[in-house]
Amino acid sequence: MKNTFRILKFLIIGILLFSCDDSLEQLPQDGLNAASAFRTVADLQAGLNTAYNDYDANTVIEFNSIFTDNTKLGIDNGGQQVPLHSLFLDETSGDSFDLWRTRYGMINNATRVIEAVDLITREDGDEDEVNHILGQAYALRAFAHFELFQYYTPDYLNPDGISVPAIDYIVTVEDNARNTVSEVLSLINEDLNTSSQLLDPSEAGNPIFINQDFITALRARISLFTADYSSALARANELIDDYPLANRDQYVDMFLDADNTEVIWKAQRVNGDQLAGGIWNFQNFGPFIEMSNSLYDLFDQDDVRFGVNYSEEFSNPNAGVYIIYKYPGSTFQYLSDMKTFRVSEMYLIRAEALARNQNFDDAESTLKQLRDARFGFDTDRPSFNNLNDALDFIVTERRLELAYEAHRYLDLKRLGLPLERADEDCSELSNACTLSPNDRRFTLPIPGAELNGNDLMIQNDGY
Amino acid sequence: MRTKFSGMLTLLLAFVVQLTFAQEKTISGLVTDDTGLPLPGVNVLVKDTNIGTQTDFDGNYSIIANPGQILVFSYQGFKKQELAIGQSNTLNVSLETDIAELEEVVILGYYDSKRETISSATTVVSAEQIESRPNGSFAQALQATSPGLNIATGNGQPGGNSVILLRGVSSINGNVEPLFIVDGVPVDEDNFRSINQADIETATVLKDAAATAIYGNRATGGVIVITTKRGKFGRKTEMSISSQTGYTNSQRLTFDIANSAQLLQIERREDVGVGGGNPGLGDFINNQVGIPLTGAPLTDSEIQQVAQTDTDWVDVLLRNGNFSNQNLSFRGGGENINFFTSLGYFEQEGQTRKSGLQRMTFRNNLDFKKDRLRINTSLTAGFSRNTIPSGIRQGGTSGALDNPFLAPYLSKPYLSPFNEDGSLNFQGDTDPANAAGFLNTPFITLNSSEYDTDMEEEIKVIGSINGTYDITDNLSASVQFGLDYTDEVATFIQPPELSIRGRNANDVSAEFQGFQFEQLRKDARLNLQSNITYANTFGDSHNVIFSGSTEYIYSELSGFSYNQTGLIPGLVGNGAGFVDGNTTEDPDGDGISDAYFYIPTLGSINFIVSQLSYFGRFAYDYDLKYGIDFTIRRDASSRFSEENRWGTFGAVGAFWNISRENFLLDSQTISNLKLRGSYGVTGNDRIEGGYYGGLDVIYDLYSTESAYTGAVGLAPSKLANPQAEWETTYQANIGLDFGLFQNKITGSVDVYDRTTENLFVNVPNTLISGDPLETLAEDEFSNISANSGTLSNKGVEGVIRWNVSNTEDFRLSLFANGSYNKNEIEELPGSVENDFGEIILDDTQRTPEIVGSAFNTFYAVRWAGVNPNDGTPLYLDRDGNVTSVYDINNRVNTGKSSVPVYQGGFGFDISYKGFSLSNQWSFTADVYRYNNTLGVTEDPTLISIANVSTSVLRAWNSPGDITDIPSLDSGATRNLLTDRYLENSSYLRLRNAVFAYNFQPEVAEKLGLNRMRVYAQAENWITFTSWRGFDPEFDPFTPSDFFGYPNARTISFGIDITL
Repeated sequence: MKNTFRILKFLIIGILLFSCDDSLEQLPQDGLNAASAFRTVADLQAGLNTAYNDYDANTVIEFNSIFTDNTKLGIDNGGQQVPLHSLFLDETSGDSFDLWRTRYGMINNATRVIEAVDLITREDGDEDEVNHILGQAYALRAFAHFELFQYYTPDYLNPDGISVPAIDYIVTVEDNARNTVSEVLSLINEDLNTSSQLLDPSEAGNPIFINQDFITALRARISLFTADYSSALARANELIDDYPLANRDQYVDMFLDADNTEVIWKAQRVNGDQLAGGIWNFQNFGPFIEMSNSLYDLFDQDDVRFGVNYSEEFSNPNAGVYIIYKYPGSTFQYLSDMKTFRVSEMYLIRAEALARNQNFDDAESTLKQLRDARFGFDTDRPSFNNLNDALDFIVTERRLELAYEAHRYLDLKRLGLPLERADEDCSELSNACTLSPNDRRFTLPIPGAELNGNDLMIQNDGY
Repeated sequence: MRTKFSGMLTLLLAFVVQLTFAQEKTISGLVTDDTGLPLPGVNVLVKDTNIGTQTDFDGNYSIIANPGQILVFSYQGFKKQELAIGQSNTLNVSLETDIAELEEVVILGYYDSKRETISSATTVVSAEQIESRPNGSFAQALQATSPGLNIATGNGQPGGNSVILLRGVSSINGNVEPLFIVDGVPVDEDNFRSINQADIETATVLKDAAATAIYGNRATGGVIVITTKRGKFGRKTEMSISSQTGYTNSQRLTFDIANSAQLLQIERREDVGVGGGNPGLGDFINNQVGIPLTGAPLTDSEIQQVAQTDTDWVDVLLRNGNFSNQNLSFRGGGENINFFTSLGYFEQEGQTRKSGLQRMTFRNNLDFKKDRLRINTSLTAGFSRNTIPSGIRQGGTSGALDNPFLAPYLSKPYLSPFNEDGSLNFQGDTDPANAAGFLNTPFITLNSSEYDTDMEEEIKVIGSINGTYDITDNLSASVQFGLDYTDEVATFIQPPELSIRGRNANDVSAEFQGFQFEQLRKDARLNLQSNITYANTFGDSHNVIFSGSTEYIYSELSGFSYNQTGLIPGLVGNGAGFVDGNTTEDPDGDGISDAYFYIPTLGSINFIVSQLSYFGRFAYDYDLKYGIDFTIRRDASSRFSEENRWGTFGAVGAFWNISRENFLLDSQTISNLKLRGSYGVTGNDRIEGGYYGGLDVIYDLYSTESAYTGAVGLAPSKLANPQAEWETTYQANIGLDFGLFQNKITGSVDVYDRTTENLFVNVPNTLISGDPLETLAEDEFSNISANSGTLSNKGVEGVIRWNVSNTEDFRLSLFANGSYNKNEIEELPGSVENDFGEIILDDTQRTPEIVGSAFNTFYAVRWAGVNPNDGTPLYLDRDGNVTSVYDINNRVNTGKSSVPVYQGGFGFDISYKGFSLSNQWSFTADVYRYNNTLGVTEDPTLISIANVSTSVLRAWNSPGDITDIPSLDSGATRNLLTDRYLENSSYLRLRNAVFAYNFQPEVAEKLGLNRMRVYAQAENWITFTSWRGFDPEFDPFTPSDFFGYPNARTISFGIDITL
């Protein structure tokens, strides 16, 4: 009996000691968790591919065209995009929702790559490849933050003003408040610096992947938006030195994805990806949205950009039907790479930076250089007496050069210009002909879904 | 001092004995229980003396006493009896069972407690109410036995699962069913088909927090503690045989479906099908109807001719199933050991072809005690084979054409079920274009039930071993190991050739057809407990119990499955018949054999969940008059992250036995009165419901996708919620137990308030969490399940029993129990208010959760009948105005839920001499279900392919018609979110009735038996309901009826023998 008691005693003590939490750590077996998903450099690259894939250019192209004076309702319109074209914008608007979720998706997936670097097994010689992957992830995160900054920040130049949440960790359910302009810019800057150090210089040359030139171009753009014109000028010059402007044939080929002469970075699109031509047209260029009369009238017929943006074949100018043709497609209809950074934008940035520095002479010649390339002959040199003259010219030139490339709305917002549509472009819509520069709609509303799911989120004024 | 005193006493006694010596004699006799069974070990004492003895193994005693003295017979569980010694030297005694005393000890799982000291709401269901019930799953027998316990069986397949709700629905997505403990082992609450109900001794239903808190992490839905039969020490071995046989059939369909003539007229009116003279129905239909279909609608005389065939498909497809239940058990015990051993065989055929359950069970319970050591083992092993027609599958509902509960509604009655030779037609239309078509519905059903296999075979072992050592008289320690092991093999075969499904299982151009699926699953749930208890009584009346325990649970489910398409005819059901996966064919005839048709698909799963707990209990009472007890429990679950892993639960309870107060001691009216109260909190880690559900809640999961440049991408596919934590339920309970007029009337009343917080529900999530795959739904990560939400159940329940007469020859008792439960979703903080001020979780459902309403409340556009002018449906808009436009924004809260508000049971037991009749009725009220089955039979768009309800005959036809059925041209309405088919599914059902005869002991004895009983029993025999269909009883989590398997009615006859 003594023995029995002893055995029992041991059993009890054994069970009491059996309190280690080890058995309470049970990893699920029905899917890849972070540790089993990221094991090799190839896995890291796969994570990066997803972050790239999150870059949705269509939303910003759609918004900058349909919400501005570059479009009108098309002849085949059966209600498509009418609210957006009527300048209806609130927390339920689809473009704001898509922009927010895809850019934060990019940030999230890029951050997953950045954090996964500690999970993978690295071998000697992997260093450059791993760094290059990380460099691209940091750059994508900076790029996504900057795009959010552009659309949701009421005032770019107030360092303490409200902007968007600056995210540098993997958010799943955590609520995040909006950061200030300076905080967002500082994270972007940090990420770009990190990226710049990590990117492999030998990987340059393929414009569908991020390299140092992407960083420089993005910095030029950021500098322009933050009114740091000397920096903008320096970055733009750097790229202008390296990238020639496309001639007229190259320019046409570029939009057929057959030429990369002036492409600094473009997002490649393959079968299954988004189709940009579908932003305005049904199949075979049946338009529900068309080029606006005001943009059509602005184009010179001799300008190569006219033929690139406008379809002679499908339009019917006598009936006022102007088909947008910027993304006709390469291997099949509407499948086009998204040319996000082209050197011509750098010419326009340089011109603006020079003009801002009262160097009108160089600004004029920069713009002439660009126009000569587009017209194929010696164009009239513009002449500016003051900054306003120059900005007027530059904003018009930007409208022509960067039409349907997601710049128009941002140009108006950045320069504090009103939206003024031609009567023919808005006559079917009530009160949708103008938007004054101080209208709330020059800053996007935070999507309602974010407000519902994030207690710390606050809406922009006026919504 | 004490020694001295007893010494003197002995002297005194010796003197008394000497004085009375002359008159004394030896009295002997037999002590039996009220059924005539000898009782060994009965204490026999000469009153007011210390002369005593015990009965031997055969119940015999002998004692020396004087005439005129009184013998006192006492035995635990029986009423004490005093008999005066007369002239006779023989004194046989039959002791009466003391019901009050038997109930005294209530098994509460981790500990037992005297009835009088329980502060919690508990109900004990005895073996008689369970053991001979003809159900494949014993849980069904618990329906209506305990107030507040709602058992709804929505699947009439023998052994089908029941939804068990104790005091309402306590979670939206999490587990809501009670924890089942069998002999100390927690077992799967969804699977009882391999457990033999004849082995069950008692089922104790623990409802309030004071009782359930000790089960902490799993007790939010309440606890049902099952104990099985055990032997008794010092008892002769007895053998019991019970044999039961009977048959099972279907409930009656409570609405009419059209006969041939009616259907043909409707078809003619709609110009479809045979009635419309459609010439394109194929040769088979043409032959069946026997007249040429030319495109012209049938004439009246043609209809008459075709309608000569008028098949009632209910008769063809449903059947009387046989039922048989045989049990053999032995129980007995010696001084140190006792045992209970049983063997059982159960077989029940379902209401339709191929449906059935076969079960063999074995049990051995063993108790050993020696000195301070007690060891108890319980072991049962069961093997069951569950077969079902492949068209309905194990879930008990299906929209497949071969669902045998769909086919009776929808099969055309003018088709004959027979071949010309009178045999059943298992093929119908053999034209490949029509064989799987709607018109062939009844034949596909017959075909599947004849040729296809859908079977689950299961081995279940539940065992426990418990060792207790009494370290001192007051301190004991125990350890227990328990196991619930289930090994299940599911087999699904659709053979090639004769099976319609099987011969179309593969690509049409593949040479080999046929399909086989098998799945093997092993589910082992291990449980290890240890406990130290200290119990003592101070100063006669201060009773104290302390106990401390640990518990560790480890459960693992692993499984493997495969699908094989392509079977070699003649080798079906065997791997040898699988066409090799590498086989290629050349269906396009280009000379290259490059088509793979036979590659099997494989699956493998593994889930592990574990829990670790510490808990303690302290109970104190003063002279059984006042008492208080505290329980505290710390639980950790592997489901949660380290920060949220541990939850603390506990309860406090108190009682006051008012009837023990002096002012009531002599009361003639009030014989027992006890006031109880408790408050406590329990947790639920099964936040996504299933035992192995929600194991990945706290983990991000990744999957691969086609990403940038078409290269492989790695993206999160599921978002972690690292903040997930326990759902917690707070429950307050106040109860009153009473006994009036010498406990002739007994009963109890309880009121409770249960509030569940931290409900794990879908809430909007920050979009900053990123969108995973652009190709998936846009809002993939914009919603996530999180602990957000509160619901409550408030209710009253009562039980009463009146023993009208309790004489030896005539006994009559009446009993009733009932409960009212009001469920309310109180808060859904994550959900956003809609334009009408309603906060609704996922309003795309027919029964979404609405703040301020009950769980599963129907949210519907109100149906307003039929427009007499044009026969179109009318609806009410939100403001109650009639509109002809169906708009989901006009949905309103109907206030009707699929969970009953009222439920209960009642009945009486009457016996006269050996005859007895007992019955039990159960009811539910204020419960609603959407009748999609009826909706299909009234859907005018299906007339060409299906039979219809006779109500379709009164469809609107011409302006001015006042009717409830819209014009047959107005389209289908059944799938609209309206209340058109929302029906009251309340019912009153004769759950069980038994008429029995107990043979008189002397008759039994002549046959060499101790006891013999014969009986006839009816189960679910009578139902009153306004529900239209087969069966109003349903699973409240399936609020829309769609050709479900109804509950069976069973008649059985049985005989119980003990020798």
